[in-house]
Amino acid sequence: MTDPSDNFIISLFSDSETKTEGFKLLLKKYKEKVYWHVRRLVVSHDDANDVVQNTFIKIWENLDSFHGDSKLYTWIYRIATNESINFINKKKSALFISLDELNENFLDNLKADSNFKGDEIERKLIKAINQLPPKQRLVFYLRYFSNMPYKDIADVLHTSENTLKSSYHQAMKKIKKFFSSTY
Amino acid sequence: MKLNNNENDKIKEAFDGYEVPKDYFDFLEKNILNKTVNKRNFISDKIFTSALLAISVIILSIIIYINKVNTTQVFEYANNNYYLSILSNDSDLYVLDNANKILYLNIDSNENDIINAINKLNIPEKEKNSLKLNYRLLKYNLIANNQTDVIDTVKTANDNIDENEKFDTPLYMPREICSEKPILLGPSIPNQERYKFKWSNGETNNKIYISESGTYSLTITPINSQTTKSLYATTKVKILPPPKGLSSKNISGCVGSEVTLSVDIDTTKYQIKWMNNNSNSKSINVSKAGTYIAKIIGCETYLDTFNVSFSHCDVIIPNAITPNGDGINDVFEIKNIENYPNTQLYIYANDGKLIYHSKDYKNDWDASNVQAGTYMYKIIFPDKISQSGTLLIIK
Repeated sequence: MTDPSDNFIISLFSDSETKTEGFKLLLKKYKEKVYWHVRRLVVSHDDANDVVQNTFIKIWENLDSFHGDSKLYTWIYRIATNESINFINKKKSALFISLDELNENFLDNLKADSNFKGDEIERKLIKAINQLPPKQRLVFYLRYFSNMPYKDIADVLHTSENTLKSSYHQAMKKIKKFFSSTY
Repeated sequence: MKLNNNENDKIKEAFDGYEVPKDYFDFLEKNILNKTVNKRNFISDKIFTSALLAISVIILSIIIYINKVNTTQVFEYANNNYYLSILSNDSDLYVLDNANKILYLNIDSNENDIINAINKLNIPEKEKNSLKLNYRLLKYNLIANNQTDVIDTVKTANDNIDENEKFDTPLYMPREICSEKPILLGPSIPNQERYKFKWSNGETNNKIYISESGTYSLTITPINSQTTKSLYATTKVKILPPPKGLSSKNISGCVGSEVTLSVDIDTTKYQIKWMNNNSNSKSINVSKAGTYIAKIIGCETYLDTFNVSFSHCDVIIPNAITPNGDGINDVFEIKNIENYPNTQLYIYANDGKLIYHSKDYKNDWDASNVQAGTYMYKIIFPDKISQSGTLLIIK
């Protein structure tokens, strides 16, 4: 069974009687995509779980303010991305540690995460990607894993396409470098 | 800059290391629904309930004192300590105790409110339980009665309606749905959270999104119950978009022959009814001028219109004449006009002025009284069929 189209979901929002059904379909269609996007950003499963729930609660609360100015899916990714960044920032300030340390202790807390089964080299690779500057990391994830066109990423991150292209290029360069030095 | 295959594989493997607990996404969905759509707003609920109660008191007072509203007493308990009735009119149900206090009213009210109200009654437990059960059945019968178009009776796996009646809750599903757009299909059943849903397409939600025609059946099984009996209902869903290419068409044919009018749609999906001759086929042959309409029946009814006219095809009318005396095209010669005696010819100038009229045209107008230019002609045959067009006169 194919997922309902975004337009169909949006058409359900306009009527207060079908709004709930629209949200249920939205949740069904996007829960996994949003989860993996958030998981890559915040790394641990428990954190991702919290952020994803907050994301969908925000979406539900703001459904009335979605007027179709942007695409439904970029709107969802934008909320998920902002929730993830807010979460990381909150955690950072709560821990009173430097960004480097944060990467060490938080974004690389794979060792402690029972929901990661990769080996040491795979941990290192994820760590390397997570050490990219935030914007490069976001572009890389959205482009590489969610296959998003630059135009839509620009919509999610509120930046120009050209900036994004150069960020992606920088990210790729660093990942290439990691590969040539590690393997 | 691109990563090579080896590098792509490495990244994929690394991120495949991220795992989620078993059944996590189902858990996530339930959790989010509980925090969003299923979240109850207690304050507004209270206001709503008190408003409802106030309205109920007024309505009931009217019922009791004027006693004009047609109500049916459907349920009654009485002994020394209490007296209870459930009343029903066409759209509402309400419970009265011996002080005529309303416990509950209106089919839209919350299930839990009824249960709570019944629990507070000063009656034996056993009576409370049967009251709850009866109330629920009544309430859902009422909903079903009010929505006969959508909600139909129950069928069990063995087509045995009695099986379902043994349940304390009936399952209502429409028997047939026709929709031009995708739909959400779901049953009407109280306390949905107490049942496991299993649809014929494998889905387990209480409602399914349907974009293709087909027969969809639902089996529900109580989650916490000794019985393994399931309720079963089937709905035939037809998803049929409006037919395309319908318009008003002008068709012309030759007198004495037939023209074929055909509707270009898939007759396996849409039903056709010709309004003129009750034919149901895709095309019909007609020999009379007029307007023919085909009804195209999908989920809704659409019309395809044909305006049919006939002309004398053996009659050939030139579009230009050169009255210069060379013997070629000197007169307005309508071929085969001799087959139609008493045919009238009108010739008009550009400004609409009549410049020539014959009641029985004999191919003899040579345009001698007019200048070169474009003119209009109209030919009326004795059988009232008429033809018109432009005529260029070159001098």
